[in-house]
Amino acid sequence: MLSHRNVAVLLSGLFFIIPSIASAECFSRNLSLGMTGSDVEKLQQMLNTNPKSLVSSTGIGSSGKESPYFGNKTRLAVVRFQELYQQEILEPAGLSSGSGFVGMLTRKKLESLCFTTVFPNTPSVAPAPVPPLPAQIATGKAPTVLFPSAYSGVPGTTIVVSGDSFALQSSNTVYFGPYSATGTPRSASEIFVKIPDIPPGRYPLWIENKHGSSNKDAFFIVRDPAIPEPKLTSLLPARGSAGTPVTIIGTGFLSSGNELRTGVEVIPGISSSNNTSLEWTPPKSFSGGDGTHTIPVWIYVVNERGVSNPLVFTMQF
Amino acid sequence: MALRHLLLVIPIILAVLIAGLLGYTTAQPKVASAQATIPFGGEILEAFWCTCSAGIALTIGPPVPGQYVFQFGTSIPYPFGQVFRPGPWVLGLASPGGTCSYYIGTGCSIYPVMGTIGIVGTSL
Repeated sequence: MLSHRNVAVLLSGLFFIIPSIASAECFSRNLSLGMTGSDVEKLQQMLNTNPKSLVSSTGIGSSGKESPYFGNKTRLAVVRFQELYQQEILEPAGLSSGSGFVGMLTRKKLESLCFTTVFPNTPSVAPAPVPPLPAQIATGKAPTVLFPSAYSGVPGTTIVVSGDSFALQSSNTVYFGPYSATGTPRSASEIFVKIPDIPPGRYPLWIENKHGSSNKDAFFIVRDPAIPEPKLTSLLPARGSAGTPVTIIGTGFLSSGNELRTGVEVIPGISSSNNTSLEWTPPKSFSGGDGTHTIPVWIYVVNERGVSNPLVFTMQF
Repeated sequence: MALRHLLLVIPIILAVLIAGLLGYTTAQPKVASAQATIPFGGEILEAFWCTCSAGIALTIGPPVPGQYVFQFGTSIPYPFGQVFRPGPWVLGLASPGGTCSYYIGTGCSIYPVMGTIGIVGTSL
């Protein structure tokens, strides 16, 4: 069964650190070379969720082996992080290159990511350790797939699939359509799998073990590393009621075959006349309130190139 | 005279202190109850809009099912944020209590829930 602790650990591992959410602050001080502390370790964990800002690919500082020491590798990773978000961190400070100092602007960006975990590219993720759940071994239930940590990636990327009833003492096969890979369970509710070397494309993702097959409604897009994923830059307007036409602006859209996945509906087969914008109208069925409430509708664009970053449409109802 | 004055003032001070203490202690449980303690995980089978109480009641299927309200402004969505429709799989923590009420034309009616969502991660 999913226990309280395991849900918390799963969520904290996949989407960062729950105590940070509770305290409404991930980084309460500036960080720089030579400093130590749990916030440095947290910083490294955040940097490691994006392949472009890895502290280290192996050893101390690598994913799962973050340390509380702000050394040179951390500084260089911060530089890369700052340059990744140049417009938000460097330009307001009048800088053209990263400094490696985690000051107000860098912290502000980290805070926003801490709450929304929005990175430009879907990362490989190393969750926090989860103790095995021996009770699951005896239950003999077919596995359940809740969701992967990322929905797109290149072959060789490691993702984590969250779910339930993964086999701990026998093999779990993770299927990508007709292809498969062996999963490594960290617990009965978490399994690591390296994306096999298969052709780019969209594949249904499911898991099979000796107790049966999981649900098959998850998917994974194996990317061509040479082609950038779709990217969302803005929504016009970013706020409105149901029935308000919204223009989704970005890059990497296809002239046809884009799928819009929003918090309120999924729309496949959307066309883009210019490959940089899509039109969407929030369904009127989501009205009925007095107009004083808002909900965050997360929007993603999915196509054969990959999965976009999310943007949030604030819907009034 | 001074003693009499003191005898008058002390009860007032005590009353203020007790009132403050009572206010503090009665406010505390609200904070404590906001701590999410009930794990849930499964597919969203139904998303019911609580039009009177600013939330959405989610009916969640196995493996760890339940009926919880996503309270606007309180519940925190995690990636991939697909909370308000049937179909996505969710994993999260809820706290006991909370309400979902919806408009029925002449007033509001209650839709039963088992608790209020604290945090919820979803599939895409």
